[in-house]
Amino acid sequence: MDVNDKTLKALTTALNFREMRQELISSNVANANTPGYKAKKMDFEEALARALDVDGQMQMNVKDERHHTVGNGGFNNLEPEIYDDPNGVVSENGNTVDVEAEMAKMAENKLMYDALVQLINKKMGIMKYAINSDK
Amino acid sequence: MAIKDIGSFQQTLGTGDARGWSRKVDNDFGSNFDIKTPGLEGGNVENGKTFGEFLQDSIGKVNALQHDANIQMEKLASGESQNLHETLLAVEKAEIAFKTMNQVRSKVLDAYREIMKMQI
Repeated sequence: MDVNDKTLKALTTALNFREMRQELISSNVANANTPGYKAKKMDFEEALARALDVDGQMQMNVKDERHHTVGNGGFNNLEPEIYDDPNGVVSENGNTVDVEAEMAKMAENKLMYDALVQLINKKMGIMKYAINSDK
Repeated sequence: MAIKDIGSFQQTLGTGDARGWSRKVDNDFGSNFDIKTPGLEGGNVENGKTFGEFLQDSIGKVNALQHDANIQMEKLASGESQNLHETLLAVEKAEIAFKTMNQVRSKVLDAYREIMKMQI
């Protein structure tokens, strides 16, 4: 039993990125009236999926202990992609923030964040249960 | 939380096998004690599995549920699936399976202790 296994790492990384996205959306909303401000967008799902490689398609076979594992568990240098949202409608002052859309994204983000926290709690809960169950 | 070393279970069950155990009891006490346990005698359960195999299968199932829950969680974390309910369901299933397995283990240990306390 690994306390910090792949799944837990994935959940933690996803939580970090969700928090980052929350800040990004907040700054978008805060700048909703700033002239010339371009709404920012952030993608981390694809990078995380690549690092996780759930379906095992990018993983190389490791048959010797001297082989390096490739395509598995590269969590350390994961970076989200942050870019100007190309779909934004430019208003007369050059701003592309759509406040309603940002609020919807924020709600979705919060939902997923809460769900991830709940999953971590559950996972840790099973471990705690296994440790505490004396007899 | 994978349950590793299921393979080594086979060894444990192979050496401390319930079949051999009941046979040993027969030898020690002669025919006075005619212990006939339907599940253990000859190691045959109705569906043709020995008790060891049955146990191993069950633990394997618990492990598979844990594995499935892990994969669902990874998929949710990486945005591959947006399926909150299915993920939570898989995790809940895995938790229940694990807790049930643990309870069975406690019961078995209780029974073992009870037998060890018995005066012969």
